[in-house]
Amino acid sequence: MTDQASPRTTARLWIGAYLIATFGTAALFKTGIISGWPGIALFLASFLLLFPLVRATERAQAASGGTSKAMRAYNRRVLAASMVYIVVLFAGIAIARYLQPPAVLRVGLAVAAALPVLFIIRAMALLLREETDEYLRMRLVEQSLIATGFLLSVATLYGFLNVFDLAPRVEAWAAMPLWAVGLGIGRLFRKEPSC
Amino acid sequence: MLNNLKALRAGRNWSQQDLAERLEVSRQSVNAIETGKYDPSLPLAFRIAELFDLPIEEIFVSPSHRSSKAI
Repeated sequence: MTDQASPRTTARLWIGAYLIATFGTAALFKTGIISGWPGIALFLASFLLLFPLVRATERAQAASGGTSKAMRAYNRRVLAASMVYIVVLFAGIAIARYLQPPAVLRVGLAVAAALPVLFIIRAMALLLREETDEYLRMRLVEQSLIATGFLLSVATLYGFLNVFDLAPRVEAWAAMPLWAVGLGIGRLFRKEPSC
Repeated sequence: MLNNLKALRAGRNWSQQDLAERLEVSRQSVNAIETGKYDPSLPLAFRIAELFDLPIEEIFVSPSHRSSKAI
């Protein structure tokens, strides 16, 4: 079969499908086209696409000769943490909105929502520690530095736009997804063979 | 850093994957070293030298000797 998509193409298709599904359902919910619990359920269901996305990414990494035991462990950790995050976040929002608990409990909800994200940061640290392939580790460090530089640059620029009342305030948790975007930019910039 | 790794590997009829498995590194690592995109650490350079049973300087070309020794 020569017309079969390459693992890299398949991974790109899953990444595209995931982004379209997540941002698409979020847009449908925000604009009120699909409101209430059906909209939330659809949005949450879109995150299930992370499973085939991770599998396709691992196949692309294997095909490009850039896979490792540490990378596979990292993928599993991030996938598990992402699923827990989605469930805890939406459960927390629902509890806060409908039960209106006291401040102490809301602190607990905030910490519970942050914990899976902290677990993802820990997974990144473990990846750098557990990766035994020095070349792959060097690439990871380079990509992380590019992501950090991207985050700091955007945050600095946006902060000064705030100072001059030119941009709306942004929630601090946005730092993590922005860093992840920077990681993607780093992978493209460093010509990661699997992406 | 220029090196003779590709020629040495070809001399043994090994693919990049074969060499990667013998060195316990990724195929991307072998490719990056062969193409001069990545200079291996001393421990990995010694592992490569021991695998081919050659001194390091017969595999990796010193930048100061590049014009005379590179393959």
